[in-house]
Amino acid sequence: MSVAPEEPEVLDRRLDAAALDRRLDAVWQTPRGLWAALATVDHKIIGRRYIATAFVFLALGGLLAVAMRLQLARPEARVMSADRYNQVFTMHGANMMFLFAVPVMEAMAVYLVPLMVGTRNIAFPRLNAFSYWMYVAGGIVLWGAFVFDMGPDIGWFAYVPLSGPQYAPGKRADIWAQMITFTEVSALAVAVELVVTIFKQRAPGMSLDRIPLFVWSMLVTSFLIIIAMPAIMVASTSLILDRLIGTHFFNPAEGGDVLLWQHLFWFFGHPEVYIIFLPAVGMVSTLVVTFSRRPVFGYLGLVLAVISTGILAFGLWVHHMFVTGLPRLGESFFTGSSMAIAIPSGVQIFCWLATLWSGRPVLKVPLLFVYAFLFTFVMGGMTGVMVASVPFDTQVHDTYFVVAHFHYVLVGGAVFPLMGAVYYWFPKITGRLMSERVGRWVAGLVFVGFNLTFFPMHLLGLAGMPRRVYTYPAEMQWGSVNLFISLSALVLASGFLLFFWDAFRSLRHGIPAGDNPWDAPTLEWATSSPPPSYNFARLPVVSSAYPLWDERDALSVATGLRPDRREVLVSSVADARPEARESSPRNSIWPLWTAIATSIMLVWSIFTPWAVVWGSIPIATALIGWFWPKGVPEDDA
Amino acid sequence: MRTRSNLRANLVPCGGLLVPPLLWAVNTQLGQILPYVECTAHFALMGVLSFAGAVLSLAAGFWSWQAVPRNGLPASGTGFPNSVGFLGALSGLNGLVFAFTLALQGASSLMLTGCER
Repeated sequence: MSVAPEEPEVLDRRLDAAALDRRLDAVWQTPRGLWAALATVDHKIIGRRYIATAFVFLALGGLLAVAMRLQLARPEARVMSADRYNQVFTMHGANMMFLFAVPVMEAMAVYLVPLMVGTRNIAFPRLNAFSYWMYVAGGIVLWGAFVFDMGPDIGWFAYVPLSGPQYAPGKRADIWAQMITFTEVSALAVAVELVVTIFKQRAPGMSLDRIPLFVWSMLVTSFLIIIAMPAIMVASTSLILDRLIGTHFFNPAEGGDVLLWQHLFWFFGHPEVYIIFLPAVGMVSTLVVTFSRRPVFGYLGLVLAVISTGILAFGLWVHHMFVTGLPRLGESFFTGSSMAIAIPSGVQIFCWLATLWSGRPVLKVPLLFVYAFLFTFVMGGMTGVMVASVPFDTQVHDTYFVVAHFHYVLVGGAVFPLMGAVYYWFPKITGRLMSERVGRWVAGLVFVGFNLTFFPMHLLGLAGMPRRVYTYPAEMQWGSVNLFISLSALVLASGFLLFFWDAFRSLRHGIPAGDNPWDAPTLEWATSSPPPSYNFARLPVVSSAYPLWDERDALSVATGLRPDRREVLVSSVADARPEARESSPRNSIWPLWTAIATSIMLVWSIFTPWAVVWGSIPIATALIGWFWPKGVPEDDA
Repeated sequence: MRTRSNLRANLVPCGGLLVPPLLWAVNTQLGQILPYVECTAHFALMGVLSFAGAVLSLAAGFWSWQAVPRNGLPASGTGFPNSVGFLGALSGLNGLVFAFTLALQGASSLMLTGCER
């Protein structure tokens, strides 16, 4: 049997720069119009949407925090009822953890990782679009319920039996549980995309020891998500089953176990802290290098710290359960692991300090946030070591000491670096710089406001003030400290307000940034700011961890890709040797339809189990449309 | 035979990344199960297991560390010659971190009898 000779392919090496740009733009560009906007699979557009949406949820969660501080400013205040307060603190926690902190870190990665590894789009771009729509739907479900006085009131941890059918009638607990499903589906989808992008789509030559530290941190974070989040999905699904069809997973009277909930929840819940923190480690490492004007001190140590922290994160969960009556010997093992995780954390801190010490630090706004982070995170880390000790934790469990501790770790450890990262990468995304002068005010107000707000909470906790109480009697003498905290919270809020104003203003009126305003060394700055739809006209080839510093004159590039269809280069996992060319899917509206069908099924299933049966039909239909061959060049292998 | 030697060459640099976390995970789980045995047996079973785990963790790290090419040239026989040194060093240090963690767990089990609730 003879085989007909194939048509010679048109490859990018046969085109000059202008012709190549035109061809690539025609293939990769998202057309104008609403339909095209809904159908896009461009990681940059989806990443921008993700980031903007996450910051909307940050603002909403911040408003809830202000409402709580208004209520607690005076003893026996009646700004809101106990029932509304329960909803508000639950919404604040659930919103910040599930709708802001995790999604915003993944969102930054969705935008940046493909650029940093030198590829043209994220792996599974349609799954990426689907994940964004699921995330938005989960947020709408949670906030819609809150607006109609159906907001969950069971804490962000939803402990049984208080969230079970006996003590939580109505649908509030179901809203919480189903919001988990939305956000976890979304988070898992992005995690899978990131792992594949990082392992298989790196620029030729980007071996393991040349991967940017932010990319390393997102790789480890993605594995944490993939391993940790199924636990909470199992837990929330079991809760829904207990509530909807009368199973007894958490009902001791019928052989269930309430402690099972805590094990499942915290097996997810503690790694969740590191899912939020590790991306911040990558951000800080990036900022420190760029603004110290030198390679990072201890690249190997920092990668080790990220990996070992990620693994150890799975052996700490019982330190949230020290007062549940587990054997003390078993608990002490978690104390050991909780204290051991201070070692990689310390390695990170010393590597950053050494880099700053031996470099020539340029004190721009992003670096100010790094300094704020270093101080605040070390404080939070030290109180973390304190609460890792069983006797101490037993005393301060469920008090404001713990509230202070985790805000120091999460806000100081993740939000400060994130704000620095926004100032740093804003010109990459928009082509304009945020204001240096306003940024210094933002950093000052947020840092001072944060510490004045949360440091006194340590003292309140030591004085015995419990968490999650909507008011307190005047006789407890907590009134003046609470008033001070509430006033300080206004300083913190004004810092965030200024931050949002600066971002909005800079979108149109910021100073044009140029391609690489910070003289940064990593690949995302090797293309224009903002990048073209195809990211790189010719894919970069890497021969060091800091390609834009070490190859200032001309970056080596790879050729041989087809410009007439969406195509990415697949490389080997460890050494990033080119292995194959792979098509990348075109825009499609089907991820949106699939997300709508899935959302209807999930919301419907709060009310009847039959929703899973009938709701799966439109989902299956949408998935068939998603994967149906469209007769385009990308359908070829 | 060639396939077998490649498999070994590929696994050695990763040993310190895989074995110590596995030992630690098993030890942590045993810490939930064995206190009941230890309480009745009056024997520091968890201490012995934890310190043995620490030693094995160090050994796994050392095993990987030895895979780091000493002559500065890419390693032969593996599928990733340019990353072997980095992975071997990473694994070696990882063995140290988990040996320390296991030693802390061992130390804590020397102070408790397993009967405390």
